[in-house]
Amino acid sequence: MNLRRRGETGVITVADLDIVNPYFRAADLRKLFADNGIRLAVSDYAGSGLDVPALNISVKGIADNTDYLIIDAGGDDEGAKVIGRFAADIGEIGYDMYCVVNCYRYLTRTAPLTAALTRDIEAASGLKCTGIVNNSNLGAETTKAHVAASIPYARETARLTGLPLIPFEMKVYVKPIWETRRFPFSEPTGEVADEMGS
Amino acid sequence: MERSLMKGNEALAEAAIRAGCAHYFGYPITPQNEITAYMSKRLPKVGGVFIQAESEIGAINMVYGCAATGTRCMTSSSSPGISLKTEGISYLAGADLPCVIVNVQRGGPGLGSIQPSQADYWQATRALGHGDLRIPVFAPSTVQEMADMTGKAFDLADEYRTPVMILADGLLGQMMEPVSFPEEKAPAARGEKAWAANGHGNARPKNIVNSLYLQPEKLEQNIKERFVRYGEIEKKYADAVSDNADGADIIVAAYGSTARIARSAADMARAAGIKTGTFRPLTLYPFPEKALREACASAKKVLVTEMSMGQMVDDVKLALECKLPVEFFGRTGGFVPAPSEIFEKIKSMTEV
Repeated sequence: MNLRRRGETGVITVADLDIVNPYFRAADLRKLFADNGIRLAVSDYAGSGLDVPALNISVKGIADNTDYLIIDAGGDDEGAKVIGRFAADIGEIGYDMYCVVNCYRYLTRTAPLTAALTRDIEAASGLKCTGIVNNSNLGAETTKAHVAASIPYARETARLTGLPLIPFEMKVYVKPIWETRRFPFSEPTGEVADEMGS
Repeated sequence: MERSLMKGNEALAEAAIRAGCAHYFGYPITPQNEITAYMSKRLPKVGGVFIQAESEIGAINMVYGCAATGTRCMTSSSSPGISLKTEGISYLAGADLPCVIVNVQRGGPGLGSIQPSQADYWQATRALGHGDLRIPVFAPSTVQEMADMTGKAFDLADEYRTPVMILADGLLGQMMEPVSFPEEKAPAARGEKAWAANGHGNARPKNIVNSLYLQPEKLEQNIKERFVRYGEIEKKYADAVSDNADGADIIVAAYGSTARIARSAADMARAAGIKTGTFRPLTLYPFPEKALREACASAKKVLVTEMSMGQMVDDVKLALECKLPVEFFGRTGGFVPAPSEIFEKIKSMTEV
């Protein structure tokens, strides 16, 4: 979405390789991506409600037909195992692999824990991370103070992993359904949320 | 207190570890897999044991063996997996073994779906195994309650030597909300278990853990003694919350994630001038009958809403002893009721 906001006109594809959890898939956001001219590559089973960890995707096939390929690989080393299947292809194509970190998640609440998980993800995926993205947040309770308090953690994680901190511009397009209204989880998802700023 | 952003399943698992649950036995099934995955990662780091059993039946029988040693332990599953565990749950109840069993409900019958559901209410409160038995059931509605009720469940299980169930649903399991954890209790604070079969070392008579009583007198005595404990649990643990019940014409009763939607619908009804309150049981067995009657003191009608074809509605009618008309609105098949749908039902109840 940021690529489009910056005026990028090439072909952009998002591939959802997170097949560990059949809930909350990129396939749920098909309309949002389509409206912004972003291609979506997901398993035939995504969004079907079928609990099958199957993935009939060719990363190389997709990469040959796109200018940018963004892969969502799930949240931990379990999710990253799926990447391992495509590691040779991804390595051959060339890539950036960002670890998106959050000090308010219990298992990554300190920089050493996060650095260890980063190494686990690299081992499971067979690829090396190339950057750290600080997405520290407490969901609906997030304040500017929470974000500010996470900066030393992000810097320390970057230092421990030897990876650069990747700056990014954040606009929230989709909130989880339980955050969109007070007790909200019954209406259609995919609504555009308020901009939270960078 | 420090806040963490966690999924309901993760918060429940972490709360169990902090409650002294060092042993977990499970088998994967959506939508509770985060509990199993979390335990597999965390327990070895805190000196505990995680075993992925060969089946749900294997897991519940491992719980039996572990609980017999007096060690705090847990298993979790989702609806079809809980059905497989029921034989083992009956044996646990018959042997007076404390443990916690988690059901993150999905659609049924059969394989049903992986979407949220509340269609296991009858099973949880009436049919978690054969024989004269009851299982205390907690019904969380937030990620924080997934954590808090897990600690309570372990305490209740030990206090009354009974299996205890946490009845959640796929929505609560997958939902991410900020959560705080209470301070961990030292193991000594949880007390000794004089009945545990954990090695007598020739220093005391041996303890035997068993559910077989061939003499009718012994079995009847055993069951009657257990029902005295159920009576104490009913007095001590039945719990509920109500909102805007004073002066309400209509009370909307719901539990778990549906209770949050019911509150939204009640807000809409009050904004439309309909005096509407809500009632939410925190325990399903014991069902908080007295609290419901108090919440309905001024009510003319009661609406029960669930993600099922109507199961808790039976307990509501029993508690009210047919003194008030009770209506029902539910969605099933994986649909979560919309506040607007419940609001429309409330409106229809005001029409003569």
